[in-house]
Amino acid sequence: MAERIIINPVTRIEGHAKISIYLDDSGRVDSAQFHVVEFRGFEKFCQGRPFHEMPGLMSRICGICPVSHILASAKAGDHLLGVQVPPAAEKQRRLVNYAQLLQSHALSFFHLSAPDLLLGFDSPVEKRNVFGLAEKHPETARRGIRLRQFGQRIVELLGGKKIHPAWATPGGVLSAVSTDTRDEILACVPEAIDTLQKALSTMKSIMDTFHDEIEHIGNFPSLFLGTVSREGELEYYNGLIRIVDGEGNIVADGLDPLRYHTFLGEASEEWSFMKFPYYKPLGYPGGMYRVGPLARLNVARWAGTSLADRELREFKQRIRESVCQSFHYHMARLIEMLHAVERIEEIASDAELLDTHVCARAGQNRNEGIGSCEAPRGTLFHHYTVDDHGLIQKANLLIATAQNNLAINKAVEQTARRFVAGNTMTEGMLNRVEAAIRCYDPCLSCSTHAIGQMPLVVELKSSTGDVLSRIERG
Amino acid sequence: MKTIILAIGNSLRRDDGAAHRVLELLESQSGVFTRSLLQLAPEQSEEIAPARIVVFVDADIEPGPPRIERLPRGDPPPRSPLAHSLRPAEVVALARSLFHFTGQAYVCRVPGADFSEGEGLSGTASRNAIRAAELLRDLLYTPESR
Amino acid sequence: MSVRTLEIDGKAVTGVAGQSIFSVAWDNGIHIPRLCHVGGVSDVGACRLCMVEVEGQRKLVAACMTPVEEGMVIRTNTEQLLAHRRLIVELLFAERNHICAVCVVNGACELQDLAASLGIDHVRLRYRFPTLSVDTSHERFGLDHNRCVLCSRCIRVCDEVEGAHTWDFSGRGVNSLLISDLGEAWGESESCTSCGKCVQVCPTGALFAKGKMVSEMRKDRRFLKYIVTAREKHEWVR
Repeated sequence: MAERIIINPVTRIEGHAKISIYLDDSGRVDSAQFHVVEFRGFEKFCQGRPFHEMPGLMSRICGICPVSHILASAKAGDHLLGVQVPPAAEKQRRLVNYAQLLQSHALSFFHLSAPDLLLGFDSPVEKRNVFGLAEKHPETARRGIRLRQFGQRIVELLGGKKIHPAWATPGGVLSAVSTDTRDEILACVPEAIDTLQKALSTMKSIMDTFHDEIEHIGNFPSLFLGTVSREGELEYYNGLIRIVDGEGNIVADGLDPLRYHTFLGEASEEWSFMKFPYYKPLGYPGGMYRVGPLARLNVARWAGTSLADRELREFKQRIRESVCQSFHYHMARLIEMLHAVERIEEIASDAELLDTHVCARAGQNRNEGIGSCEAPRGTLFHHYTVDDHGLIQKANLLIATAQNNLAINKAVEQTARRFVAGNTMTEGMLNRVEAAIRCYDPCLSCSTHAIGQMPLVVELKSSTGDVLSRIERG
Repeated sequence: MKTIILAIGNSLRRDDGAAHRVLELLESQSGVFTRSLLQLAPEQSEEIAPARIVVFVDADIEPGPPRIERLPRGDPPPRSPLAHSLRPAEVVALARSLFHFTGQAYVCRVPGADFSEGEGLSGTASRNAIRAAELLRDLLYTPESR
Repeated sequence: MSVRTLEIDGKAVTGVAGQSIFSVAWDNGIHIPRLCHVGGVSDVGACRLCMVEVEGQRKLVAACMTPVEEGMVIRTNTEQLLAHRRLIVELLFAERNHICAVCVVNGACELQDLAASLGIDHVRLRYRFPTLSVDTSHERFGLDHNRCVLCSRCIRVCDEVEGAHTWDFSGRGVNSLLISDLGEAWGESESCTSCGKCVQVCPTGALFAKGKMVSEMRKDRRFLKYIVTAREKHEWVR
């Protein structure tokens, strides 16, 4: 029986995600697919445009992480110019990147995931949301909002415009940071650290109650890909790519992100508009890899800041090898946020941040530019080919959510196998399937370049393709 | 601060930006604070908390006349489990439980016809925006809000 | 110099023989909308936005091209005129691809300002979405045909002030296209002196300085008055 919930009172234009769970003849889960049914248009959209316009254009891809797209785009522009950006500009870019990580993770953790975690997966669906959370844990909910605001405020202070800041440009950034701005940022650091330490200790105290979810929601070996500094620390702006396997062994190290296409392939399937990137040496789909918070903690040896390092050590001690359970993405986000706040304090305390030389000037010196950085959801690549006059001929965007696509599919399948049985779906099953996806906090609007909310449609199909059950949320 | 009007929508998807047009049509008035947003986020709950009246103006894909509805109290309806933006009822529910919001919340729907990529409104959305602005003026000038 | 006395929008004003209605109105604080007129170069009456009503004449006249006459009674702001102006601006928007949100002059564009001042919030015509190119072959400047309104300011300033006559139109009607020299890429133009006057007088983002981002570019037309004053009056004053 199909159940349809109509969103009232106001609707946004929607892309939507659909999950198909296929049963075999004996009624057991055979396979599952996570479809994204929204057409991508940005790569086409920017053809023929001057590359200097790209940061502003690309910021429009996403309302949640515009900063990542601006940064990757500006870095691809730096590459086309062949310049080194001035130190103050690099510091600004790093600062805003951490701020965005903070606001995006805060939304994911405190608003989307905390209800599952703090209220329990089997608490009634009408209460298992941020409002139920606000009732039961008002202080946590309030602090989550303030933490997100802190991140947003930094983006606004430096970027000027909250949703689509276009302050970074090929060669650097547009303007210098004032002392007032710096002081405002520094003043907010202690509360943010306190919020995160409290959330971490809560999370650790309840971790053991999720034994079943940890084991069965997206727990499978895979490769993990992320950026690290030359010293092997967490790095989000400019580093080298490291890939580790499910046991923590380094599979590849010191890979130059500018050569991403030599080690990453992009497959496609007719049932999804999202690409399926894979690690080339292992082929498709065996080269499945995960990116994002958990992947970054798995590839990095150290965080590089004191408080986050303490947490990271403890996190890594839980399991000696790579942490393969998708469920730990939540914990990883908390540790990353703590690290981000520490780095924000460090950069804001550096006098060089205030330097007024913020943009290197040069003409175009290359025909191919690649920019990469760590976005909240994982490694992001922008790759532009331009003609001799700087007009984009081809743009390729390799986006975090797409890189997790294979893993999300796998996680959905695994979760369905464990929790779905029979021809109908229960709330409990649906909750777990959703939770499997939510670990990755996929941003479908961005990976498919559409906007708006994402109703989730889940269909249970028989071996002959008949729809046995259908649920729509949102 | 008496009244806050939040306009929501993406002006690069034509009629989805109708709410921003409504704000432009409203003359500034003391005690009325307006803001244009792409989408709602949790922090709006703190922003609206001090208001006696909050109005969310948003485009609507369902055809019909523009209208203003009072948001019922109580829990908001279930939402998409993957969405990153909030709906008005959710922002209000958060504001009530976390930031002591006690005011009235309304939603002003502005039906549109063309939500394709691009700028500028369709004739339908444009007319509805004018009508919606009139409705808002009526609402904000009722004795209750003075 | 003989003086002409007339009435514009109910206000008694005076101008000199040969002076345009537009110019007399401007001197008297009445600003008639325009896109092709720019002070310092000749007028061509291309945009038709400055059309005004003259009592006793059935046809509308372009204020920039019509000299004032004794006893004229002129109206610049009637409902009919506003309706015409709105339609003209809507036609411009529908003709090419004007996407303000990602344009270098967003927030400082004469076309955008004009639309706002005429209360244009939507376009009643079907957009043509033509496929047009961008010429960034010049070292410092770019030309984006998508944003060109064919006002010809660039052509006139290049010809009359700089004396290079690099720019001109090719084609007719809707197929008109701004070209440099005989249609070569701008960067290969032999006549262009790279002075940048055309970029500064362009009312939209069609001509732009390379390297500028969305909303980053602001045009400065004060140079034109400076040059023209210097040339005509031999006074070098800002």
